Amino acid sequence: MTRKALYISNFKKTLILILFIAAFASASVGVGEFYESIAAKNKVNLWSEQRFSDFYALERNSIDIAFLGSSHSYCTFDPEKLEDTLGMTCYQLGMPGQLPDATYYTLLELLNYQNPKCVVVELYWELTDKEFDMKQAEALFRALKNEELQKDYFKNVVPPGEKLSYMIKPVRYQRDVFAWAETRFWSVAEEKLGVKRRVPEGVEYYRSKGYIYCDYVMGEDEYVKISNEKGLDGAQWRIAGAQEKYLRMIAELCGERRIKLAFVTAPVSNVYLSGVERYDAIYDAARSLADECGAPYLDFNQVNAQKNVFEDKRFRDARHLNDSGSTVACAYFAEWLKNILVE
Amino acid sequence: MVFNSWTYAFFFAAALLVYHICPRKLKWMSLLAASCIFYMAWNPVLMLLLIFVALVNFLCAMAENHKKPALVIALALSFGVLAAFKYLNFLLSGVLGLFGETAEFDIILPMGISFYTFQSVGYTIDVYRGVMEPQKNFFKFLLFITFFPQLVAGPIERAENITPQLFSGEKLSLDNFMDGGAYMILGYFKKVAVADRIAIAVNAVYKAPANFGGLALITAAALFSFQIYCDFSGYSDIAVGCAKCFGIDLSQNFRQPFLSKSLKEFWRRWHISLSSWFKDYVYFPLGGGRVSKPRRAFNTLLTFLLSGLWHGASVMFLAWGFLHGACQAVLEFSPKILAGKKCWLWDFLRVCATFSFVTFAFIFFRAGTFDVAFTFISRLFVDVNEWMKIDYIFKTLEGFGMGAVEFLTGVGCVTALIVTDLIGGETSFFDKTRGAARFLACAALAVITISTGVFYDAQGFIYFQF
Repeated sequence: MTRKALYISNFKKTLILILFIAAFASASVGVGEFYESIAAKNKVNLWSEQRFSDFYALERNSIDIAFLGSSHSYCTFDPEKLEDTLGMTCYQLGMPGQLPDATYYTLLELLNYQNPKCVVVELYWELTDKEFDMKQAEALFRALKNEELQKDYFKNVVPPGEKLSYMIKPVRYQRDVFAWAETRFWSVAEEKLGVKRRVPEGVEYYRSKGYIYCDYVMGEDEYVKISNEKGLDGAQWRIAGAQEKYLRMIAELCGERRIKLAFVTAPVSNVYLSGVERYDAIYDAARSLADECGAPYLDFNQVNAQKNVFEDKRFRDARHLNDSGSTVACAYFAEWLKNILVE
Repeated sequence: MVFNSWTYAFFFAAALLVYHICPRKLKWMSLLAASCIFYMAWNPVLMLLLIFVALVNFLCAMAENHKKPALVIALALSFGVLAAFKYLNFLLSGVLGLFGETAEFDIILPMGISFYTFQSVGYTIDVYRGVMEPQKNFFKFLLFITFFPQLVAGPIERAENITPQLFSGEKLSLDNFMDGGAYMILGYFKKVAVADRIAIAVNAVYKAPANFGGLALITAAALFSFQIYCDFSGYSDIAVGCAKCFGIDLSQNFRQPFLSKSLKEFWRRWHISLSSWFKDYVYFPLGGGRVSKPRRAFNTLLTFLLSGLWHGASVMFLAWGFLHGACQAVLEFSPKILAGKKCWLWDFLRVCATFSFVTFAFIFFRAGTFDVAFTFISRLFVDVNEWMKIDYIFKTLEGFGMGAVEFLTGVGCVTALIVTDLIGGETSFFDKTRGAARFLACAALAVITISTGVFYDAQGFIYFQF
């Protein structure tokens, strides 16, 4: 091949490569922007934003008890119900899928504005065994209005590989988009094809102080879903190293600030728990960590095993309480917490 | 260090850079260093086992005066190591089971052990047969065994194909880089957007088949065929692509296997490097096709049983191999109806029949236990009169352990692959398309992968366990 031919050939290839990069980059950016706009409409994200915007609007040092954790926290602990019984101000700062690493950063932000007497951290075994979850990182970033903390979280918590994935918007927002598309898909299927689908009766909305009100009652379709998911063996279950580290850091921070710390596991339905083998092993692991952190621990599933107070009608779905369930849980919890605070 | 991780992306970029910087004569050493690092990132101690297997085969292949005893030693030690690490518990449970006892050793299965053992042994047999000269430099031989793109899950390479390329010290070129990149994108698409997506549905159904109706079971069975194809051929495409970037052409491991019109053809298109290994080193030495029909049937059955066993120490893999072997053995005796007849409808029916059989056999491959497999099979046609009802279809859609849209996205990607395979025929669509069209297709695949691929619950490659 002559020098000229080689030059032309390389020029063509370089052009194709540039074409590829340009097509890929512009399409990725376009998809990323589209995905981001969809994620902004996700109602669970909107609730988190509302919860934190209400939090930032609170008067400084006006909260006595703060609740942190996942959806189990904001579906179980209703500040309004607890305030009546405890005579203290409460606020719910739970977020969907919140892992202890995000709980720690939420606590830091809480302490920037408030000086609570007690912090209640909710532990859910399906989250505490994860080293990291990008979805909850995104929820945290959307909610926190503190760039320094966001940067710290990104630097200290997000694993290097996930940092790169996070920067790719289509990857970051993909689950929000699937959730949005799912709703659209079923409404079109109902409208155009007459597909009958069980729609829960009732309402679900952000009420106040971070609590999500819901009066759905779980249906039998949950039984089928759960029986498909069976198989978690508690004996094999372990708290993820990263999450254990952050739970200990939460305990240390609370100790330094003389804040009473309590760990709690919210109830799940009996049918859901029946899918977990050796739940006692999970309980023991959480209990022993709580003991090491010097935090009292209440597991509602143990309470339910003894008293059977959380029947199916108390749940919105197999894993989350509805408002009537929350009323039962809050009544029990208020009594338990009173004793803890007296100690 | 798995291909679908950022760690691998950085490692690969670093390996390319070091290779580029090294003088021509030392380039193969940079590949050897990269390969050792790649394996040791998983388990440094078990690298010694790999070196041991390589050393045994290297020394035995060098033996000029006692070729046969040396070959026997190489085979015994290599397969002995394989048996100890992969099959000991299986054999032990079988033997002790006869006496009503149980025992199990806690043994780590070395990554890629079946692949590197077969590649090493293949080399020693080739040298014994005089197909090639023995390699005189152990480190060069070690590179042939450990070359990182194909170390963990193949393709199982022949020394005569790959060694001249490994040591040629070819410079990095834009051509190779673009070709390799295209294969890697295709591989990642198959793995991340297709295999990992449909794996969610497959896992949900295989976990509790008794809870699903026939439509869900048949869908899951068919999807598993595509899952394993996309998972493994995705890995192979990435391996081929990575090697291509270094200017090395690995063998193609798959050639549109689900378009096969017969089981025989399927095995010429599926996991080609393993099929040809068994053909050359087991089936032909047993007599191949030059023996009587009953003997040929027996040879076929035996070869497939061994192939099943190669996949893992489990009776389920044996059952899978037996089904394939038995079916081919039976076909040896069957009259060749409409043989050579050219008719699209007949061809289509043959493709469907082959795919159905392969899918059926995969139930045993995937099920884990006979209990699950038989529950699965016994329920395949449950609710058959409901299948066409729209409510039943949508109810089935809800049960796959993920949203209907996610499920349909995965199925859509599978359909796209089938269509491109149909267009491509014997040659892959990717190989047929060139120039700007190919790279626009690559850009589209890359965007689809990052937009719809599974990044949160990414699965390991299925064939890593073998």
